[in-house]
Amino acid sequence: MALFAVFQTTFLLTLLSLRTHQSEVLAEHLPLTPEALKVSVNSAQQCLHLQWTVHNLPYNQEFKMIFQIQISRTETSNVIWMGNYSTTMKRNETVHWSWESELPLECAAHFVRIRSVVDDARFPEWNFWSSWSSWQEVNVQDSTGQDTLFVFPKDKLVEEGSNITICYISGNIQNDISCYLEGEQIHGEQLDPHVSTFKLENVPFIRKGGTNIYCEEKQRKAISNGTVLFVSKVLEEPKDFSCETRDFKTLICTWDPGANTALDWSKQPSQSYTLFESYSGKKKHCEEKNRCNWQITQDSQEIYNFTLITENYLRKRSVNLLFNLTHRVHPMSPFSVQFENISATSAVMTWKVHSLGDYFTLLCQVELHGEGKMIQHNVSVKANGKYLLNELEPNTEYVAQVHCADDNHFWKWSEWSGRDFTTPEAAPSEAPDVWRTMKSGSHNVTLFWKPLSKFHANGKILFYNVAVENLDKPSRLEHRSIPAPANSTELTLDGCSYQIRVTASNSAGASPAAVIVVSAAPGNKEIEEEIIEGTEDGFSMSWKPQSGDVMGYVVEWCDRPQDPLCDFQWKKLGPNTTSTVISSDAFRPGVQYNFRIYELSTKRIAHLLERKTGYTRELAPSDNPHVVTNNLTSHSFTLSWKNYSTKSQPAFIRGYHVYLKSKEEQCQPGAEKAVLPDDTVCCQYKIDNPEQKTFTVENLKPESFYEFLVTPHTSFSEGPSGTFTKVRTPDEYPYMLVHVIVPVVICVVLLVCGCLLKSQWMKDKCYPDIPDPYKSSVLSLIKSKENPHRTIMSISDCIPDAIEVVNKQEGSKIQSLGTRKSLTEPELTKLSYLYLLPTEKNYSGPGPCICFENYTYNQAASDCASCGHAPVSPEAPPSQWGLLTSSENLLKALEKNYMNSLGEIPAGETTLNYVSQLASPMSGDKDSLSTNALVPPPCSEYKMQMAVPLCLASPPPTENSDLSSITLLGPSEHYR
Amino acid sequence: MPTQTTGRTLLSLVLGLLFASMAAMGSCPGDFHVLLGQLQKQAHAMQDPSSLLDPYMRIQGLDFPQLREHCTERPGTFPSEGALRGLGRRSFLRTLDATLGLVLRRLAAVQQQLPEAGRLGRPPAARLRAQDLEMLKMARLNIHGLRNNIFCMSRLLGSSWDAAEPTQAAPGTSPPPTPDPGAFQRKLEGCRFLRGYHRVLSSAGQVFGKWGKSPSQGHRHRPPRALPEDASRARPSRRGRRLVPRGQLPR
Repeated sequence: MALFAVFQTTFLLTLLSLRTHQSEVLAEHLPLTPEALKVSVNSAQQCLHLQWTVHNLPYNQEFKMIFQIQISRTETSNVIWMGNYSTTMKRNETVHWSWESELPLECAAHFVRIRSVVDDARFPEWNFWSSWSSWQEVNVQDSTGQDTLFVFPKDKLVEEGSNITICYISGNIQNDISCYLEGEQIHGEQLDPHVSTFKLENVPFIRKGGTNIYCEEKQRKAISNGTVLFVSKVLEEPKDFSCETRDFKTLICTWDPGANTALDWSKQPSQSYTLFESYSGKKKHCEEKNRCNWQITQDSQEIYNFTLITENYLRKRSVNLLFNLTHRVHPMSPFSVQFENISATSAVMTWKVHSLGDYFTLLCQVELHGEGKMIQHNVSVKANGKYLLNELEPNTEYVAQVHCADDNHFWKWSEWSGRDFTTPEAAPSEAPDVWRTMKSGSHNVTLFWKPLSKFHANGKILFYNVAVENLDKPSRLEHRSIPAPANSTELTLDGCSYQIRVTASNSAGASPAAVIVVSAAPGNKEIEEEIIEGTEDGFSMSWKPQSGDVMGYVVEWCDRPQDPLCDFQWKKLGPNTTSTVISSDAFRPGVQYNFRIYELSTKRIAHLLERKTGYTRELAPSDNPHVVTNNLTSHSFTLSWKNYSTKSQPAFIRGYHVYLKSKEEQCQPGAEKAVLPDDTVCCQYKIDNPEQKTFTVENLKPESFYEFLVTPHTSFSEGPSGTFTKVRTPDEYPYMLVHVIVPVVICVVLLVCGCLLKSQWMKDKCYPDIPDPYKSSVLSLIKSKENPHRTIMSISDCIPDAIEVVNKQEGSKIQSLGTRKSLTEPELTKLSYLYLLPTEKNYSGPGPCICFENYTYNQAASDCASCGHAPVSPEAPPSQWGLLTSSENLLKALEKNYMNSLGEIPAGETTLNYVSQLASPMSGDKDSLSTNALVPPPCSEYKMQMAVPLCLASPPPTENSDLSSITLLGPSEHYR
Repeated sequence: MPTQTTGRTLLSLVLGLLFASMAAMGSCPGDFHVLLGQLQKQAHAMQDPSSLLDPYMRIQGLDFPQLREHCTERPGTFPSEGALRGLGRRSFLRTLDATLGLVLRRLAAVQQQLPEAGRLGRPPAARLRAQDLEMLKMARLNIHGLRNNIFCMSRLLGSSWDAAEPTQAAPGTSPPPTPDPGAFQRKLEGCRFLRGYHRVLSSAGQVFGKWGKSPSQGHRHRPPRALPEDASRARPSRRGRRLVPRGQLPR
């Protein structure tokens, strides 16, 4: 046994030894190192294609092998990738393998080597790595020594969102180089002194023309080179892929293709579409991008399994569709749509469908559009369709259309086919709504009716017939036809009751009649108007029925009460209705609307029930009254605005406010202080009666200013704050004058009149005639002493008949006659005369007189134009100083002076020369004359002086004359 | 910007269709000055880069300052203004016609490379691209119109040269095949080509302007250095050699 165990162990050791030896022999004598390694380059795809073989494989059978591949970049020691590739191969068989580089292969030299191992369970002894093959160098671009800059990859096609690495090779260019992607600089890594790489991640699609990347030498500012990265949109899977047939001859498949991935420069065409049907194994390239037609063969294939494949250079996508052909029937549109037997309310619609075979039934849907409504009906059809359209409206245009679908397996409706038609007219179905207005105090009735709605008119209303029947006495019916579209007519009736029937007619007939009765005794009593409040929605009103037996109620109003035509409206209500809301689009705020509510008896007679008035919304009064001020006194005045109409206002006028401004701080009783919008304070009088349109403001102060404003007020506001009107109360004095002075004046006038009547008596009493100087004894004395030698009459010889003593105060101012020489000169101030005048009664012309002249008394006469001399200078000769040229002038002057003598003689108007009847004891003393005041004696003791105008006086003194001397002139001197 | 673009497009459309229809109807303006005025207006309108170069640059994504700076005319691609001034009137017209013919062909090639906007991209970008493509179409119509007027002018000047078949570049003058420079370089080349196109139209406008100042319509503007027209034809030389554009748009 032990021997057996030793033998067995020895055998196993020997076997193991033999096995180990055999392996060593295989490894030594059967090297499995890959041989004939060849490396080719696909620059566009940045791929290295490797091919090799293993010559030393034993046996001519397949071995499962693993190849380990190392790829280095720039130099062999810089291994950038190492991986295994498993495959089965036979002896001398060539193995192909590709590797895609991230970096364009032109950017750097690449090196490749391979080793292998048999990975086959049948040959475990060969399961060890061979030695490496020698390095194979791949150098696509040799830029050594070139002065050109290269950018790689060239015109590469990538998909949107990819990561890509680009590089530039600068060769011998020493300058700094900057690279730009679409105008923006990009930064990379230097691979070696001449190569820089740029990693671009998630590249976007920018344009079909590609994304431009270019590099420039900074110092030369020259574009050295560039490349275009053609970024394609990602190919999308077709959406909504669907197939259907309309005639069982062709299948039409459609889909949504999504974005077109075509690129410029033929870099990538639009994606292609191909249909593949798996049951038949047929394939079809689609010409269009969103649809494809597939011919149905006659082999009764019902089930189809389509695959739609789309592809471009970068991607391939597909979608599947499995369906039963009979479930994808999309019928064609019905045709020959016709209408038969069209009446006012019905029509028959017929149509035809394209036949799909005896076994197919179509479900057709008929749609009727008219009057804004739509009605649908379903009909099952084999070949020809027919449907009765009823419940139509007369004189209405309809559009009827039909579409169909497979009734067994609904897929899609066909397109619509349709036509329009119009139903003929029918007689109006309802009586027109009629109402009337009656003018009070006359028998004129205006009938109104509302046009029938289209629904009830059943056609175009051509005219309205009005038939009037006298209810009180038998008479012939009166007919009247009013062409449409009139809506009213006027009837003149007598005092009888009448029944009026109104019908509307179209081409098909007349409507039922509307009946209204006009009573002989309207019985419209005075009914007080009630104010109601309206809203934007209208007027809500109610009324109390008077009798229980009524047909209904009518509310009437005018939509535009301010217009002459007023747009008359009415609303009819049932017998059980006692309230309503009247609304109208025509209602406007600030307009007063008046409503009348009538009760319609069973005999169709209307009785006025109630009157209402109101506003939808009251507005503030827009105007203030035009106010007139009357009865202005020093203590009051009256304001009046009687022309102000309260009816035409935008709200119910509740009264007026009278504002009064004055300097007084306290308001009068009946007024209260009010603050105006401009913060001024005034007194406010309130008038609560809108019909009171006068107001008297009392207790005012004379000669004071007041301002007033009258404004209407409503329940919620008052009129605009307008301009105040000013009033000034007058003074009391004029009134005193009127009351006192006027009677005095009247008395004086009466007194004067009395005096005039007694003038002779007065004359005799007050100013008797002046004696005639020619009858004086002095004259006889002169005559007696007349001789060739003139003598001066001695004063003592004279028996003075009259002496005038005139004195001028020294230094008093006198006005010169016709000269502007200063009258303050000494010569003039001494001017004085003493006249001796005749006292004859009837002296009528110039006569001899003796006078003392003083200019002062000549003033008025000098001013008298009637004297007929113009002002002259003192140097003028005396002859030019106009003597009185006519007796009339003298008389006038006398009259004037006479009249003046009756009254006061104002200062400066001392125009009269007084002739004293008494001899002055101081005659001849000029100084005395100038100082003594002239005191007239009682009139009984003097003769009245005549006023002697200057023109009657002697010529004015010359410069050399002695004005202060007393000159006695004889008659000859005067007449000279 | 879109409003201006639309306005220019409409103007271009009207001009292009006007002159295209004129030639199609076989009616040429018989008045020298009228025709010359039209040529000047066309040259003036078409020298504006906004009529062709700008839309091209937007389509190609070259409308960035760095790239605009480098989009300069490549010397020698088109005849210089001096060279154009030195030509006789008929030679000038022939040269201009040949230049425009070349531009037309290149534009056609470019348009083939540019698919319609479709549903691609953001809507504003797609709209802008559609507008720019439309302007390229309008530019071609305008060039046709200008060529028609050149044809009319050449007939008015008594030339038997048929403008309907524009002068072709001489065989062998095309550059030898070179490795594909890449889309970027081709874009830039197209930009430079169109820059030259606008410049040559500007120069043509200047030459036409000189024509208008000539004493009479029959007078030939012949600068001292220019060779006689017939002599230049009969004896091609370096100076009298036909001036044809050498540049190309990328295709």
